[in-house]
Amino acid sequence: MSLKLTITLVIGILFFLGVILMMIKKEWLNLKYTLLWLLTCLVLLVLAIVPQVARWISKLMGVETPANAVFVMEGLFVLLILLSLTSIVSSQMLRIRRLTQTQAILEKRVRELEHLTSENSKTNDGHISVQGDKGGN
Amino acid sequence: MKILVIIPAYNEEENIERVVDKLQKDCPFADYVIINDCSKDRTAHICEEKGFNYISLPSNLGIGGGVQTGYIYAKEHDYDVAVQFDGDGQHNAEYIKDLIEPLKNGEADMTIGSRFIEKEGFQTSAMRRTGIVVLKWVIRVCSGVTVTDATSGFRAVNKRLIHFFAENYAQDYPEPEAIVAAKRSGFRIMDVPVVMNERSGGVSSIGGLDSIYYMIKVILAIFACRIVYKKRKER
Repeated sequence: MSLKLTITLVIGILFFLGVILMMIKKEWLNLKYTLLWLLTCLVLLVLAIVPQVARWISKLMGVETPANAVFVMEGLFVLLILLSLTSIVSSQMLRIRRLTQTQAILEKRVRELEHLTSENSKTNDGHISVQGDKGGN
Repeated sequence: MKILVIIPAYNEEENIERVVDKLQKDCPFADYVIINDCSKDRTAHICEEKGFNYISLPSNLGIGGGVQTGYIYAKEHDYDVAVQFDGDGQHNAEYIKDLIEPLKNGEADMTIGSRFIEKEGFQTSAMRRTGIVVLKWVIRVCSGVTVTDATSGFRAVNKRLIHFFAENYAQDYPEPEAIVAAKRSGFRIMDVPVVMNERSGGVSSIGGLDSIYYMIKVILAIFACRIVYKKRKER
């Protein structure tokens, strides 16, 4: 792997890491979901800096050159991240469905309560007054 | 002074009745609210039956989301002090007075009940104690405050912190993260000695097996807290 490639990779990865840290600071990224990205950057950084690792991986996987091995590893990690994202989306879908259902049932309870209170507080001239909500316990 | 005891509860059907009864006996001057984090057992049923004051979350949020719900409730009902109190019986309500004292006289904004000052009562396993010491150092490095029992869920905060936590509360590892977030944002934190009991029924939410993986993630999360929260002078 040429020195030029090593330097390019290191600069690129460090820049990417900087962007990730900035996004964490601005709270655009949640740390829990960002862990995989951080691991990816770390692994790729090691691969770029320590040429023996890239050479070993290229021999192990049957990839032509160590440089290609780095790109294969990057692609592998991207696949892993995408898979984890799909899993996150799936669990969020379950939560949203549950939230929708509970809210709908809650709406029914509130509506029935409104009917009850409006019936109970009709004054003599038919004017409807609804009792206010009392907070606390 | 309006005091609210926040009791997060997940599958605590074995403990919740006893915990609330004892709390009301030991602490009649405080209100309480149970946050039922979508329990799968009869926790909600028991709360309804006994007429307890409770909120039921429609989906499970974990301890972070549950406790934050309590802070939102405390903010909406204008409480002066909020106390976090476990629903499994590990905490003793008799110490709530001690926890609140420094908040009352303005010495601190947040007090944490620590098992390790007087070293009395249930001291937890050696492995967890080591982890807690490691956390103590990490928190000190990231925020400057020394806390002897960062995983203690027995803590009290004043009104300003109630408002802060209602808006920002860590979800992944709330106990240590909230300390760093609060200290970096200029709040004062103090340890108070307490005695805790061993968990008598049910299962703890932190298992012992992947402790090392857990420690790595907690430490990363605490450093993330340091990045997210800008250092502010004490208010």
